[in-house]
Amino acid sequence: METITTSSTSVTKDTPLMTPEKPNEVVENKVIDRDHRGQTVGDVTVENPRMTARNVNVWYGDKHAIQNVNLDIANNEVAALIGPSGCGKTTFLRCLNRMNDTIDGCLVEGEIALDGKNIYDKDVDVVPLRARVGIVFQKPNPFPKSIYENVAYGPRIHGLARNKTDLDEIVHSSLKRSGLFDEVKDRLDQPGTGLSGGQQQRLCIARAIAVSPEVILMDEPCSALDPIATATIEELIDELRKKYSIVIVTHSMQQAARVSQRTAYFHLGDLIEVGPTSEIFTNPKHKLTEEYITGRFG
Amino acid sequence: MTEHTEGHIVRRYDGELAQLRGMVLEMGGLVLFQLDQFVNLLGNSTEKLAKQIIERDNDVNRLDIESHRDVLKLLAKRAPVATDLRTIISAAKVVTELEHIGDELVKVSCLYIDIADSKRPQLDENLLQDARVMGKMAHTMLRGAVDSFDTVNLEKSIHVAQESRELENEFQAALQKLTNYKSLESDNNVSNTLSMVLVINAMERIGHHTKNIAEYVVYMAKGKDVRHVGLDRLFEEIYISN
Repeated sequence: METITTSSTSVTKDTPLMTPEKPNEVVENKVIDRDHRGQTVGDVTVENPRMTARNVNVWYGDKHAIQNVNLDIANNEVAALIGPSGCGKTTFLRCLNRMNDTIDGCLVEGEIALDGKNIYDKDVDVVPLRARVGIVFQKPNPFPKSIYENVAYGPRIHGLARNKTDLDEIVHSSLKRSGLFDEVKDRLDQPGTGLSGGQQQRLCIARAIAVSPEVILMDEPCSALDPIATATIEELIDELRKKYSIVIVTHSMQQAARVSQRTAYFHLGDLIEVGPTSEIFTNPKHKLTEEYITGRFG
Repeated sequence: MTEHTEGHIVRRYDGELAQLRGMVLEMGGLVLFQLDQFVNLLGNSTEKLAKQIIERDNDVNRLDIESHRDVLKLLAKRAPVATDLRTIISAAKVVTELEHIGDELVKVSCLYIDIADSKRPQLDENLLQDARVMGKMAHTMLRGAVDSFDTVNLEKSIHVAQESRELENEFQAALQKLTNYKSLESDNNVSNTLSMVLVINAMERIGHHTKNIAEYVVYMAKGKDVRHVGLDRLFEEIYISN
């Protein structure tokens, strides 16, 4: 914490109508210590956490990618993770459904709990975990199958449908919730890869929704989409928030500001600041956050 | 200070912000000059000076329009956040306050021309004294407020807020004095007294607009909305709170 002093005439007791006694310095409201490690500015906890991350450290071989991160993910909330490339935001996101397990040399330490249960416990099966914590990637990646099969695949392998009628119901409702149904209802047997980019991304969201997740992770879901498709996805995210917790990694400051209720700023593997999005984008407390979101360093 | 006007990766953005700040300061300087001229007018009743103030208000209005155009451009093009957003919003608000001050000065200058045109007796020194004192106080306040915007100096902002309270006290005292004015029996003196009530009221309003400017500087620097709070709270926000 550093303070600043202005050079102007100081306010003294002689100053007319001065009520309280003046401290020596104007208080700086920015945390500016760049060597600061491990202590996030802002409240990392929430009242109604769906997921809690505690003392999370991640190494890729010798590289310490995430350092002692603590963060709660609330129910019915969109949390945005922002920060420059290589800051660890995607790594952290991938920790939330153990996607980093697939990377050789990746070591995750700490505790990440979903509804109070550590997802890194030995007795946790990652397959159902990834149904409960779904993920949507940067580039739409539908299976090379029909639109119907893209959505039906998850419920089928997780045994969520007893019969064809159940499965149809799940596919239709998932496509409706992802805002895609009206556009594809007459061509459910057509390949998913034949859809436009924005539609493919909504298909991927429908695929994630179909297995009744609790949390949806989104890794730059709109970076490959035009502004119209982006707006459609953002509207969908707002809708989905009513039922799920959503964590979104985005490079677009404006998207984070538009869609999220809480924003977390990462820098070189540290979680620098967390706060209500409206505050982060009007009056961030940490100088690094401010410099990043105002475009003063990349 | 935490405020930045430079250092964006996109340098043109710095230039656009600096241009906006420059325009606000130019407008502040012009309105200060207008107020100074009006204070000179009090007691040296020349119609010419009053007309110059009225004409010069066109420049104030032009700067108002140009500043708002630049604010809109910055909002649309740069999608500003954090300190940049606060700087731009504060600049827009300060410009509006300056424009209001300009309008008050036009209003009282018109009044002065009426007085000069009529067959009324000269305003007597007793009537003018309080208006002059208030005009000078308002001028000191406005200079402090414009300086505080220029240098993002919150101590100056607090001074302005304090001076605003003094000006308010002065206004109440002057109003009381005018109410008890001994020569009020004459019709001409009634008109002159009413005119002076309007003048001191305008000085009080200018003080109020100036205090608003000082408060926007606090918002710009600290992100704290200190409008409609007392001096204690303002003091606390600047010196104590985080």
